[in-house]
Amino acid sequence: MKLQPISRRSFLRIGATCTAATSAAVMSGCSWLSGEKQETNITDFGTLLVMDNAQATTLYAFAETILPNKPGLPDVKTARVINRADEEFYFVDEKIKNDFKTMLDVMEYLPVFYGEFSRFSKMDSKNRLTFLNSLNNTSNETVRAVVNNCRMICYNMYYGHESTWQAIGYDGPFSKRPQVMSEQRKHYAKLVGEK
Amino acid sequence: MRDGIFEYSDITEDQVINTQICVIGSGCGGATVAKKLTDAGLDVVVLERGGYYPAGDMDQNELNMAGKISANRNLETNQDGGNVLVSGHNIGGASVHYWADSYRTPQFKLDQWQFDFGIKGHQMADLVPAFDEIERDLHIHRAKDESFNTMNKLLKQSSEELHWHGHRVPQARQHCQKSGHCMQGCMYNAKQSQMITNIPKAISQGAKVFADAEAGQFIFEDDKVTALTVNMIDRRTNKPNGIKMIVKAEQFVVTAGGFNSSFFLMQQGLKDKLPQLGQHFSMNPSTMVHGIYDENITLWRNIPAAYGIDHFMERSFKDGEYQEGGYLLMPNQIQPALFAAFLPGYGETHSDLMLQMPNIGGTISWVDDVESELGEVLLNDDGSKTVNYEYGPLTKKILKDSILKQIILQFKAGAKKVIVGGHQGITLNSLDDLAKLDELLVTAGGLFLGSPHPGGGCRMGKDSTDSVVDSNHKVHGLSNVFVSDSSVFPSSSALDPSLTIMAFSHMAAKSIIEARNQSV
Repeated sequence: MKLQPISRRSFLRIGATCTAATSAAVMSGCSWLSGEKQETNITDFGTLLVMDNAQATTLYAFAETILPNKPGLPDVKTARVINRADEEFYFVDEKIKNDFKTMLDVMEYLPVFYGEFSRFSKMDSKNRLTFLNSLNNTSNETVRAVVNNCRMICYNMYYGHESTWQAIGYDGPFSKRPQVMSEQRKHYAKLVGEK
Repeated sequence: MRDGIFEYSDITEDQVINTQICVIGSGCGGATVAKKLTDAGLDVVVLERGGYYPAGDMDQNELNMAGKISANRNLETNQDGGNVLVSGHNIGGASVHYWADSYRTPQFKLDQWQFDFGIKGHQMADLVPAFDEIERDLHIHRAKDESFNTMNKLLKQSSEELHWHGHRVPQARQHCQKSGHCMQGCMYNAKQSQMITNIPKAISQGAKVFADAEAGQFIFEDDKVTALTVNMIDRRTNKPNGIKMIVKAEQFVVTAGGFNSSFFLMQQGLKDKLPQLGQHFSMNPSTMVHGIYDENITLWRNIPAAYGIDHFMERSFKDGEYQEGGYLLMPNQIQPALFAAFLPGYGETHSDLMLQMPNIGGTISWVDDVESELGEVLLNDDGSKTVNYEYGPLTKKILKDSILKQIILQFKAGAKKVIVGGHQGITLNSLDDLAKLDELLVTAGGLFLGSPHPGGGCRMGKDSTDSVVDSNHKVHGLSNVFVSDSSVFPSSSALDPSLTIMAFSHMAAKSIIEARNQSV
């Protein structure tokens, strides 16, 4: 795959356009839980509070591309990569939350910037991997930041989930104490309608 | 209220609190200064933006605990996205998730701060009484044999064979269970974090400690601050719940840490008067290298770093050209989620490594930031924070050299392959592959780095043209505001800053008390 050069300025401008475009496609609703008005996004991955369906689809496509598809290891949905990422970013500062969403919007259109005729989530899995590997030598630090942070989030959420641990030989928390859910975890579960 | 600490659920209506001294932050700086001030019989209020998570709230689950005790859940990076910024966000601050490494400030660093930056009263002779007291109170001792996991043993042996000088790392822990969950908070209360040491001592001596209490705005009267508005945070949502407190105090001590103290003071509109606010920011960037071994390493158990290699602590130059050094080397310890994030590659390449996790060892370097290539903390127009830190030319050389030495060390330790994480990442099968180092992008986002030791932004110095606080920790131009954390360091502390922060906080407490006596 031959990559076209891309300037930082044009990248960010197109990124902003992507954000506006995808924002328009948000499937959102409102819920009244805990007396708090909270915008929720009904997506293919269940109810989310940070990502819209398009952003979640991009993250899913990224995760599906880089995470293992092997016996003994869970798939992206079983390890709740998308849902846990949404939960984690729900509680961080607004700037980080917005950067995260913009990053996904940019990731989705990144192949187009490089001359591909497809958005990232619409590429097949093999082409996505080829595309990501083709970016290994990029000199564009914004591209590196987008790709690296997408991968960090996917790996973090996936291998942070206990369904992956046995296969990788990790014996879990030393104490074997059951999870102690924080107030925030309970609150998020309530907002998205989980127990 | 638990353990004498007020939490969000305890504060149900607006209130005004009168005290002698208000401390903003509860980490190594805030807790220590609060303890020392209550030792002197003073009335102290401590405010902490994060929650209170004692041992009973800990579960050693990596993601769960990051959500409880780490600021922004370890998902924050610097502006270029290349460095993960790690800091505490809870009662006890970063001391709850730190490794318990407890170093006295290196002499070369104290000399640099005195002779190059002109700070006074912080030489070794001044600090020794504080170090002695802290080391006694926190049960600090050199790591014993039983604390050496396989990686530590291998590094000790291999560094000795290479004739690289090393040492047993001083540890602030007692009755350690060797779980390996230091970064998730110690549920055995073995690690001597501020949450279980200076905070309860300060409370027993009358301090009032508030969790979930976000410092808002100072109320100024001429060159004095008379009060501070405080927003109570609903811990469930991590957002203000509308309840406010006003803390009226005679003196204020800012101890919000290396990422936040300068940011907080900029939020008070002080940048024009104090142009050095946010400048000279250091973060001890840490490069990581992994190795695949025939033997089982189980990197995630026992204490992280029992042994440190200080052979390259100081940079060496020849004819003005950088040769090597400027970092401390240690074994690494991370649990699987962060471990995965720091390994290179996608798909099968990455998962094949993960499936060998028990046989993968790791090392880390703590790079002493180059004084002329430091970063900055900025307050943006929308009120948000940005951390800028670009690798300067010398920094790049040091980062690369720190990786080279880790590669040599791990092959000596018996690694069959050595892996350097990064956007591209490299794998070496032997030292014959060292030329691959040239392929490594030592630039923003090129390497995967973590930075848990922020400093600077409120540099200590002579006056407002070169610094933010004077050698008494008092903010220039304000008569009753002090800073007591790593943000006052004129440059990087070179290694884990916790003991230096605590010792400096002893000095800050002394200055605060002296200022009170002078005003009387």
